[in-house]
Amino acid sequence: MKIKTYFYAVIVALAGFLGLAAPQAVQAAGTPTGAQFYIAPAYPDNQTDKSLGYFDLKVAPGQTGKLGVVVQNTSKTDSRTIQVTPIAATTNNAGQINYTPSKKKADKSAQYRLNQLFSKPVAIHLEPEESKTVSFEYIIPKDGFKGQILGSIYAFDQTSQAKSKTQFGLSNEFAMALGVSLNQNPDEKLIPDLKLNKVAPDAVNRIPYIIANVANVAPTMFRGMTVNADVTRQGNAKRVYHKTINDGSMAPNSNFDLQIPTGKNAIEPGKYHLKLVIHAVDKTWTFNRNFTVTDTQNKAINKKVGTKKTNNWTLWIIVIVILLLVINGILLAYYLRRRKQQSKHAKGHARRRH
Amino acid sequence: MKHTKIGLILTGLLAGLLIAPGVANAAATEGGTGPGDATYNLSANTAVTSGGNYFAATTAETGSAKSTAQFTIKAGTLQLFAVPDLNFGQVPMSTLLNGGTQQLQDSNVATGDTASSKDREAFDGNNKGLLAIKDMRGATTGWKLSAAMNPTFKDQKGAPDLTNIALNLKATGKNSVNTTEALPLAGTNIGATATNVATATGTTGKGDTTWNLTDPTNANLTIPKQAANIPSTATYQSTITWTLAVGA
Repeated sequence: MKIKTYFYAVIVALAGFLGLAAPQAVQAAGTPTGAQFYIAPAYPDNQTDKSLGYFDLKVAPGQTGKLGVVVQNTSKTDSRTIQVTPIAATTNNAGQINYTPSKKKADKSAQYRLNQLFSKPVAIHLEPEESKTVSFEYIIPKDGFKGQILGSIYAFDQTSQAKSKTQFGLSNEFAMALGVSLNQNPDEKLIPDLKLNKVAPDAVNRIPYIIANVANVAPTMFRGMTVNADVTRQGNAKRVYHKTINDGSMAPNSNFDLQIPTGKNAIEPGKYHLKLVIHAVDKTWTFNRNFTVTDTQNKAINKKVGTKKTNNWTLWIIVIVILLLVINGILLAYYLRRRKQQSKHAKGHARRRH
Repeated sequence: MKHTKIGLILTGLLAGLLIAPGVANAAATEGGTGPGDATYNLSANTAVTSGGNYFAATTAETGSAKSTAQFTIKAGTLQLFAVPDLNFGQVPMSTLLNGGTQQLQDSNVATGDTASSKDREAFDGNNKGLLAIKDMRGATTGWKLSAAMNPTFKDQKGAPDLTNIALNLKATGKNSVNTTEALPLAGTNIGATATNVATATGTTGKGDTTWNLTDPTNANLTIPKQAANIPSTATYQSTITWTLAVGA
């Protein structure tokens, strides 16, 4: 309790001191409770297992099929608008399958993306406690596809949420996603095929990293991925940077940027080596890659990060100003003393003459 | 002479612009079974029907679809039941200017402002810092909760944006079915891309799973040094998107 009071006092004091808004209401606004809707699967006949909770469909080349989702508004008082969209699964940069919309381009290895096979998204309006069923139609290409196509039916509540009124607030938005996996031969076990693409330094969200792009070029998803990345200077076994991912996963035909942090500043120019070991589905992939960081790259990243040399300049200016003031002071003191002595001297002379 | 040439070129360009989208559409539709240039398959239909008891046969009668696939509704639901209002109170100017971390404000902190107290009561539940998921499906697959935060905080009155802010979450959960189960809520460096913050396997996360985000250590924002000239009266806002997902 004491600590909390102290913590608050410090914030208030700091805010007050710096002229930041007087402590007005630490108040909450926004949506009542949580998501006021849910979606549930309405399985078609080609669902392999009805206890899964997501769509796992056995499909055939040239087939036109359907799947449905029930969208329920659980609010007793508010109507809402929900956008329901078929999307392709991707892999996020934390090395996890992402069932939410992403701006990421498809991996080059992808034959088809789920959304390309499905009918258009739809926005539905629901009165309080009303439910509707949205059915999407999909058409499998005549020539079929290899392996698995993965994605989801993503439902996003577009109903405008009340804005938080705090000085630093977050408004909540809600979505739900039901996975969709399409397979011509659901029993066929495919092995993931991992590739290491480009390795280069860059900054993301103003944090400097070495970025190694890892791709799963096989049309099959997998879980239980462990990633160990070690960066050394070439010809020196000592590890300089390191990154691990535990319990990662990847979508079929997807890639992600493995971000190896390099501390506060960009990696120093020089020659480096990346050793990347990925373990999943009882298989181990080892990648070794040499890469060079140029002076230009280092400077460009530091600029993005915001570690500017201007800080040094201001420091120098302050030092110079202080030095000038000190010198000035000394000179002034010296001058004043001399003047005093001179005037004493002059008075002394004057006295002697009398 | 020159004028006519320019005129011709302009007409050509205009015509091109006008025709181009039409061509793209046509190609996609003609493609039929294959994916055309469109993001979605334009020869397939999306249908919306009232109520939860949907059977494809109903649609077939209207002649809008050829498929006779039948749907069976899975009883029981999965829902993101409660989500807290994450409140970071007032951020010291020094944090914005030098960069730093801003912790979650204790939701029990008294405000003294009557108007806001009223608001707090109106949105009871949210202010208790409760995050809750209800899983009554009896499905063999668990669920995943992900969060995405817009890293740009905006002021409604037009003060410069605060950029590249990341969210971190950390809490221990409770479960109503298995009281010894402590599903962790954990996510670091959450930005624009959805990041998993809690995962229930097929055997965990049944019934009600809850987390209480009331302690300053449960959530914080990593704020890099802001270059913008920030007025002291600004009130900054961003959005968090919570997604509850079930998938392979």
